[in-house]
Amino acid sequence: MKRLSLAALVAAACSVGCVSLQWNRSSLHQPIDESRTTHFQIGASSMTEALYGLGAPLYVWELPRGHVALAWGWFDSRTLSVQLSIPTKSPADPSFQFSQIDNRLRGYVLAFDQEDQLVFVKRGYLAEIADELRRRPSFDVERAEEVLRNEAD
Amino acid sequence: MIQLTRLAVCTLALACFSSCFVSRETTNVPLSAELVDQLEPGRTTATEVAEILGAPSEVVQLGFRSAWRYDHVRAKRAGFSVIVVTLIDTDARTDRVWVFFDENDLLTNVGSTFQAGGSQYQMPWQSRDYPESVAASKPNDESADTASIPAGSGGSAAR
Repeated sequence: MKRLSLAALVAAACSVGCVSLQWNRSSLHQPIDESRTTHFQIGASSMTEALYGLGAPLYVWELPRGHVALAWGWFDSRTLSVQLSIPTKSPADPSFQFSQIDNRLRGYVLAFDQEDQLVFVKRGYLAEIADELRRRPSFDVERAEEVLRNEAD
Repeated sequence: MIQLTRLAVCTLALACFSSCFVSRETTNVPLSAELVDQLEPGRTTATEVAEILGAPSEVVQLGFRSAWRYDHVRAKRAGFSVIVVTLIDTDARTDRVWVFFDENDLLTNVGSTFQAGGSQYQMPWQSRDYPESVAASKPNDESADTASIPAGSGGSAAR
């Protein structure tokens, strides 16, 4: 009798959607072949070449000293999950927002100087690279004292 | 006869407990490669870009320079569910155009990517089909001014 009750409970849980097994794949944007970035040369390659080779970036933002960062990225994942509750929210948001950098996106960030020449190339998660680039430099006490001395003179 | 009835009942039950769905989500209208083709770095002004492409989705100030973004997002989702097993696949791709201006609002660079049309309804085990999207050759200054944008999905170019 107990077994029958347990079986009925499991069957009821499964049939009403309390227990579900999900195989989910989600992808954003087309991946960039690494070979397309290898021919870029720091100090020699231009923004025009980068735009030609990689297409339009996902994000563009300003860096210190008049430099500009351009970011290309993509996201592709497969997940297998067991849910023990009624799913009220989609496991993967299909929408994409340009307003903020999606922390799932990995790819390339290329920086250019005021002459549009390539300064550096970074590869990894775009949000992490952006955070690193936007981080304020640590306060330089010696430099500050020097500036104050010069102003006093 | 009994076996046939059982098979029919099982099939009917499976049919009742299974479902499938597809959905599509788009943001903004598709971008036109022909319109982007009209932009000429060194000649076209910001005002003319606005007349050709309309209002941008985003304006980024880059010191005295600026960049405008135009985009179109298309996400396709397909799913299949049998009793407790659910398979979901989501493929989101974008058309993007970035135009860069100097301090005099004169167009300096254009970067474009057209991939939204390539998004697909698939199941998770199927391999993604990505079209060849990026021009392979490296332009010099002259050829960069005349590089054309492949029509249709999966094209990208810069001028």
